Amino acid sequence: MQAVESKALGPRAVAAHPNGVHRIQPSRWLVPVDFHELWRYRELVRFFVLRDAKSRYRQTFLGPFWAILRPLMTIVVFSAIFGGLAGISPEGNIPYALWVTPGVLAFVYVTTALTNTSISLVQNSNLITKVYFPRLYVPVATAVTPVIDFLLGLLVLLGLFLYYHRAPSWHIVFLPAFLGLAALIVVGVGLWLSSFTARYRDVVFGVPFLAQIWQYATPVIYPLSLVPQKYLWLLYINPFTAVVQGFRWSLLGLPFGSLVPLVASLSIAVAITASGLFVFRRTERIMVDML
Amino acid sequence: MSNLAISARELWKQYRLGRVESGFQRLRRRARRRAGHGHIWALQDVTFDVPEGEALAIIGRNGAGKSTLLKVLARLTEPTRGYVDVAGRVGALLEVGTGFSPELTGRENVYLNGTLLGMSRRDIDRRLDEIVAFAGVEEHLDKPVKWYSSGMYVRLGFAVAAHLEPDILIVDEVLSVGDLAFQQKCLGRMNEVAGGGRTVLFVSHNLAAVSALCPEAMYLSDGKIRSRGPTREVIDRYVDDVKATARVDVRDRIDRHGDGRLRFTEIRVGTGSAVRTGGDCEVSLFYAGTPGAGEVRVGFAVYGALVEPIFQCLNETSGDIISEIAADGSFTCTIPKLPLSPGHYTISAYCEIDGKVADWVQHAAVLEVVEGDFFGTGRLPSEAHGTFYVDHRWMSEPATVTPIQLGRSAL
Repeated sequence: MQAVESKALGPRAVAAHPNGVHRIQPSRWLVPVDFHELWRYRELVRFFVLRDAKSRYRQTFLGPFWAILRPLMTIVVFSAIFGGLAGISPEGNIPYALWVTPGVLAFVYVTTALTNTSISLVQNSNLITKVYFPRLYVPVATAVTPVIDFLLGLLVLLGLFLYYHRAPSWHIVFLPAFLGLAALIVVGVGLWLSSFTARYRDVVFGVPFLAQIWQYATPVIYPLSLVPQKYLWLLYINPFTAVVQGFRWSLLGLPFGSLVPLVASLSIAVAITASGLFVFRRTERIMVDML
Repeated sequence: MSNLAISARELWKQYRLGRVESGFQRLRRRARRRAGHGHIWALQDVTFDVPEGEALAIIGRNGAGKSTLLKVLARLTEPTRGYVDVAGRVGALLEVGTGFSPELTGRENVYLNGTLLGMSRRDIDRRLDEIVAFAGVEEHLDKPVKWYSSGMYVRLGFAVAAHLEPDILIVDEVLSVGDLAFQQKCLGRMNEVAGGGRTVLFVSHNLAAVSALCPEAMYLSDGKIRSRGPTREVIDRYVDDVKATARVDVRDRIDRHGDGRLRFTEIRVGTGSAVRTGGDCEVSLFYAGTPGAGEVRVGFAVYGALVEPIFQCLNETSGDIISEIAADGSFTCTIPKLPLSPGHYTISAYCEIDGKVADWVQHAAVLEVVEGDFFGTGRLPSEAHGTFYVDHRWMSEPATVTPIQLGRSAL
């Protein structure tokens, strides 16, 4: 650190320090992510997840059973309407209820994670205004917490496997990778939304709606094979298409089909997260004055 | 030459006044070519150094910029202009038990809170027993803190903070929590930290605590540094300024307790001229609110060099029953022949209606007492000999003969 000259106080300066010297000043246009600091505070994610998980089902009668009930009811309704009434028949000669489950589980996670992440900064404002820590961990931990619900939700799938006397495919070992992809997209979108929510609370109203629309734009209730060729590209650029296809591939052993969605999904996930980080880091410096 | 721990250069911080506009409102305002809300400069050209190992107090009235300065140093908000260099890790305590979650156990909260304050897991593992013993919650460590009493909660929160080992410790008024014994413990612990060669910044309204803890002080007013130097001199300067107005506006104090049926707005001490030892002292507590009918307990406590009050005046104990009060008004308490020795004291105002606390503002005003002829003899005791003057008589008595009265005497 260079010596700082000042007219009033003479040429004394903050000398080197074993724990480093930090300069607090107005930040520039681009605020780089401080990975060193993230590493130092890494334990926070665990405690945030623990805290959110413990308070999630407080004062509920059914408690964690909600994590099973929500996908289960959705599957029942979808199977009755789209599998029964509309007569959508999926690929691979699989019962509709079983076929729709991986997509439903994926989207129950996405909906919960996206909704919670977008309001996470506001919800943690008592912390953010009182103590400095890498704020990035707030949306990240919030996006991770519903994974617990997702794992409980897998019990529904297990039940359906038993009911239909089928077994999951060995591809299941790749499930965490696709869950990770879903989480990455959610974090990226969540960074954008939470930055925006710090300023304008409109997002709170828009997000559940957004998640719902997104689900219909993703081949959750209908197979890709039903989509006319000329509109297929629309589904391919939806990053969640690859997630849902991947879930079916790894859980049910269905063919993945074209790899275009996967490549698109990965690129979009990276792009959204990178740009989300940029926006979030810029918001971070004025966050306290907003919340 | 010792190293500097903090070096601030020409810090400015601007805040926008008023509500955050919605995007729609802003568009409409711009379309009508109107200017936005005003801005205020909460910090103006603040430049100072803190050598390593110094305990520096920051004093000043509400809105003087103390909290903003702390927020900048704690990296909660960025300065608008200028910069600060800080050496090493900064631990800021702007609140006790930051991030405590009611559903987590005491142990989990210690880890969460400690991590938030920048401790590593190993630090916490190592100090857990000490922290728990300091807070005195050994048996309840694995119970959710929602079952804790508020006292236990606060003690655990402070215990974690007290065992932080940052290079620079920033403390904002957290001492006004907990019971007396615990406050003493906290002061002691802070003294240890300050004495242990670490740099401490301490913001408080309690001038006694400030002078007990910090040899150096900085006085802020309207976002500017008014005075910086030995605590005694800085406090004198501050008290002079306060005395010049002889009244303290407490409307903007947010660190208050009570349900707000009544809120103190202003505290006036004396009747314009300075309060003298042995003279009559009048303290007026002005309030606003819609209290309605009900038994009122109103009073104030006077604090000196200790954490505990040196005396209090309560309408209940003086026998002045107040059972109904107007929506806005004041309470005035007269102390005839004030027995306090010259010096500065702070006053905490308190009001209870029908057994429930309506408002309680700690260290709300400064009471400055100048020397006066308490004994009516023209003689004054030396300042070093106690806080109170007490009327007394002396006699001398030979072993067997009738006593001879000596008359009035000063000690």
